Amino acid sequence: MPKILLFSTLREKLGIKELQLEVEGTVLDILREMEKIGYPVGDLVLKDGKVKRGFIILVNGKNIVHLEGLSTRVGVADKVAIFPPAGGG
Amino acid sequence: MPRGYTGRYLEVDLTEEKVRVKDTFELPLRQYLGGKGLALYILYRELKKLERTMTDLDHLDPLGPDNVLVFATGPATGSLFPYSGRYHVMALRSPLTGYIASANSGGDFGPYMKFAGFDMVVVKGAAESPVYLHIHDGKAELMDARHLWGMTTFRATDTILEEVGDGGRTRVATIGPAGENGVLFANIINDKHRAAGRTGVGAIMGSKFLKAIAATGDSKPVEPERPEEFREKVKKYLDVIRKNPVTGEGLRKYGTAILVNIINQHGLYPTRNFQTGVFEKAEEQSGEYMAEKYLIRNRACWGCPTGCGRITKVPKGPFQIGYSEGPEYESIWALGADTGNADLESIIKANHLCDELGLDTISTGSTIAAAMEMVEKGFIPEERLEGVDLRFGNSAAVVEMIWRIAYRSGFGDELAMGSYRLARRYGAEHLSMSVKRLELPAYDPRGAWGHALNYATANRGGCHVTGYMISPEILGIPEKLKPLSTEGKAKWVKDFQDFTSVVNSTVACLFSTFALFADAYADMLAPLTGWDLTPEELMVIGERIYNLERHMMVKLGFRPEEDTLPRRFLEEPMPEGPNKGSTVPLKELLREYYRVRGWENGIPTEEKLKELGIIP
Ligand code: SF4
Repeated sequence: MPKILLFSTLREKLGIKELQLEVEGTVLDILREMEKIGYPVGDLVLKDGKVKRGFIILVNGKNIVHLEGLSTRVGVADKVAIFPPAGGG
Repeated sequence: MPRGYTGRYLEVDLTEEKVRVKDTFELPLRQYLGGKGLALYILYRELKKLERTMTDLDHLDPLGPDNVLVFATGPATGSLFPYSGRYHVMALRSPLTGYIASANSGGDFGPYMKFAGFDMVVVKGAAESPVYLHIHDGKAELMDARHLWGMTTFRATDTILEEVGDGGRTRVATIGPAGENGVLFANIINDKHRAAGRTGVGAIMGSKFLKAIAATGDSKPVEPERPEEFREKVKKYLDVIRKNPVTGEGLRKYGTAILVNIINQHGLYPTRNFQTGVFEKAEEQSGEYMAEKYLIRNRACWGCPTGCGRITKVPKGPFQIGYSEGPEYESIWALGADTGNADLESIIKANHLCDELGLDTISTGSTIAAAMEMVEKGFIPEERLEGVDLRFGNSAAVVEMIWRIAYRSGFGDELAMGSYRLARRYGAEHLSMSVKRLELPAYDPRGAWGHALNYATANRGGCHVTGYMISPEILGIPEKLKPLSTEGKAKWVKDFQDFTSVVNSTVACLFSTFALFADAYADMLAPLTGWDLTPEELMVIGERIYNLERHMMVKLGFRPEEDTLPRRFLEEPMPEGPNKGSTVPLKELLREYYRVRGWENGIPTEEKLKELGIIP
């Protein structure tokens, strides 16, 4: 079962830090599944069907920008991490 | 005359006990702006003088009277230019790296230097007994500081404020015991919790018997040349800053510690002296965790619309503390994951002690971490440790060693030399995670190759803020680059290093660059100064400053083979996580970088220096 990790303001807005899902599929499928079970993550992370500027989605530590984007496959043993825009130094 | 300057700077000769007021407008302002750039220009003149009088610049002792120290503001400092509450400190030679010393700090002190009537303070010579400098109303006095010697930064600040505070119109920058005792990575602390942290500038102050500088004045923003246009532009960019999710929300809410989870999930959060890039307990030292448990509120530097600073409290337990500021990301990492320490309460305490005693948190944590690995691998015999159990993860030992380093007590005296000299002493040079003897910050270069190239080539040494490639490689600002790729990285690194030189000469906070780029800087600096600056001209200014610094390093003995990384990153593949198997292809990166820079083997060519107007 894929594990989903949420960070900073997403934790506040969705009220959870992490969850495990029963489904596999693409990153987009995962986001949709989260919405189905009551976590409207799509509204926060997507705009016009794309990841909003600055948001980071990792599958097993790799940014999906450099994989297949929202079509990146997420398998049972995978970990998805989602971050709102961030900076520091 | 351009605006944005008081038009006066101070030259203090501590040996002669004299202060002289000099004319800022005699300096090439449009070529070097202020802050880092202008300080470098002044230091270059001093270096050329020394070249004539000294048989060999090797004899320039960083802790001797010949070293020159400059506190510099820029045209934006103390104006309505957003993020302009900062100043830059430079010196001819760092006791830690042997090259140019360079450090930047926020708080209020920078603007107050200007409100006191000076663009810069240049310090030469050495006093016979402790003094402090008081600047106010365009005047300056050297004051007896024998009663302040030995005091922590907090007490020294309070005592000076009692003496010359003038009803809240004064700000203080001071060294603590670490600077007095010549710890090679001692810092300068202003406004009690803001640090000009790196390259041992505090030790230089200590060597000159200069305990502190107090600046008194009225907090009145500097007048721009074209006030209406300036105000309009500032308004426009404040709006950009507010709407930007990083500068408008993320940094304000969670501080820089928001990076702990991000960098750890990306697999480049250096753990146990960079042995791996994944720390299993990162969540417990994250910005999110800190906000939930220890944060009281945020705090901003003068004129900052973001306020990434933290006010924190540890309510109970062995590391209890009623009021502290910080820790920020780098300090959490250095005193945390790098030493294997998961306990955030001890990290808050350790960070507080570093501020109080005047120690750079990055070099402190990293030197302790190097010692821990040397103990683990049998390079340092147990009996040297005098009973302190220097094992990764021992939070009490981290806190204990901070005292010992600052007072150079027992084994702390050996750590006070920094990780490079310590590791060399025990035949384990490869275990010092440093470049040009400056300890590396909180990103494993095996996880971001552009950042690796910046580490290897940063003039300051192992530094992240010389060219913060984490921004494009990890955070995707201004656009997302593939971290484990060499493509185009050399040009990015050059541009970031050059633009950062502009930021440090403006002087503004580097965090502004999450929302504002060279066009915004030119747009606001033009009506402020009265110069018709373009972004292109600013980038050339940045390149000039960066090349001058390198040119001076060459005169100070820079060797091309010092543009490198610790062996670990070139030969030991990252053992786990998303970057598993990665080592840095440094040769390829360097070759391209030198080509883009127009340098030969790390050294600016005569042609390049002429093109930039550095030599005639
Ligand atoms: S962003 Fe942070 S460090 Fe920069 S000026 Fe603001 S408070 Fe200071």
